[in-house]
Amino acid sequence: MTETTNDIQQRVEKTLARMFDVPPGEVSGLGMGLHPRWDSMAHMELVMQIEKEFGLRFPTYEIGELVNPAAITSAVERHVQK
Amino acid sequence: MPDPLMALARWISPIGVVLVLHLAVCVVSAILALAFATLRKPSGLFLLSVIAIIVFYRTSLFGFVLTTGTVFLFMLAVDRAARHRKDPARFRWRLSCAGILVLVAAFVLGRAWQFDSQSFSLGGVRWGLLALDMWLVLRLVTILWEVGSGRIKLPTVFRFVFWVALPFTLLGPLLRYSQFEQQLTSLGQSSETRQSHSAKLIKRFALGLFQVLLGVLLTGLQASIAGPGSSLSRLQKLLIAFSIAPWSFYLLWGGYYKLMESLAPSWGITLPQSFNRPFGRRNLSEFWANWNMSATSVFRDYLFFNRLGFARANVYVNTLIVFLMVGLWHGSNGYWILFGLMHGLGFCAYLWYSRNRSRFALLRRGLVDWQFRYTGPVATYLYVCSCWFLPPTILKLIR
Repeated sequence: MTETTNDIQQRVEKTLARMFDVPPGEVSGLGMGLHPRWDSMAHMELVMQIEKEFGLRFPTYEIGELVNPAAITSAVERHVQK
Repeated sequence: MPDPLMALARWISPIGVVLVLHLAVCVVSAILALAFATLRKPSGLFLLSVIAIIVFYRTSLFGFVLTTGTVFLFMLAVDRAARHRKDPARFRWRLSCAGILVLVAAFVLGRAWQFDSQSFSLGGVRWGLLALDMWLVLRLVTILWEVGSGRIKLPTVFRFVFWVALPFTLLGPLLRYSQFEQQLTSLGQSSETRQSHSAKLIKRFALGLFQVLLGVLLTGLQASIAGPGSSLSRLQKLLIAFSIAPWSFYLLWGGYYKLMESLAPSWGITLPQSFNRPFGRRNLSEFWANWNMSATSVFRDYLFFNRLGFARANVYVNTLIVFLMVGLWHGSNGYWILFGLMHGLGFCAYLWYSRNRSRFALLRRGLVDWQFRYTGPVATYLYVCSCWFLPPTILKLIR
């Protein structure tokens, strides 16, 4: 079954909410460097969590671009569709 | 030369003639772009870029053309060859990575063995064979990465030259090609849009100019009281290293980048912010996240986030690689290697601390609120200054 963008977005937001300990409603405002705990190291951890959640692996050149929930959702969607 | 002029020359000399000349080129080109509508069109801006590059590189122009031309031809060849492959994306990425490694090796070794000083004589002028300046190499690395990863398509020669020769980025900050490409549509924007930004930009320009002048003043002050032949004690030199030196560097370059950020919009181009009050940050991670941001983000994206083929990235190894490369990017010598290693080790210590924060709960409870609030910024500031100040002493001890 193919996941819709909405499903992917929800799962991404859940992972982000769990990772940064924020209510799901506030996830959309998160961003690398915008949240005090979303630094380079947390970013690596987040990438691993997202990869585990969706069973995929981001190539190196994509990791630096996953800077907010929208970018992560669209990258996951691209990989899921492949 | 009259005394006041001698004094002025003494103040300016530390920042170098190149910087002054480059600033003048940027200001003139920005005024020209604002004054003549034809120059705001891509072809006009291209012409201004070419003039700027001739003035900026002068006798190194041949080296600049050779270096950038080789990289462009390499990208073109890879792009053509990839079309006939089963998996063109993988082929393009692998060859681009190989290209990046060769470019970086040529840059590091070329500076160590002074290849860039090799020249030939033509028409009574000695022409440099290679242009290996740090910002050009960083620009070329980013375009190889972006084209190789498929983030962008191979640009046309016209766009490539336009981007690589942008006067406002020749000495930094870095504008990645993908960021530049997004802005190409705004090049012909109306004068009304420009005017709506002008008050903010003039304020930024004035602030940048003020910062640069303050930086020059402090650099001159430092040179006159702690320069070669000064009779200052070690303690006095230490005080200068921890007070005047970091601020003179930060004000000079932070101001210079602010000037570029305020001049580039006259061409319809927005540059990323470079410095965001780096001193006074609570830890090394925050310091580097706000220091020379357009460049450090490249090291972070390309090296820190790199798993180097393993399932999981080792953040400590990656940190050391990042800072070693940051050091080598500044110079291929012992000073900059030690500078990078010291920052790398400091950053690793911070990473370890932040991962084991709970173990330090007892220590943190022993500090009252204001002590805890100031410990981080003071320790970070002192460590950052030590990384500039200590390498020569360590090198002396090693030798």
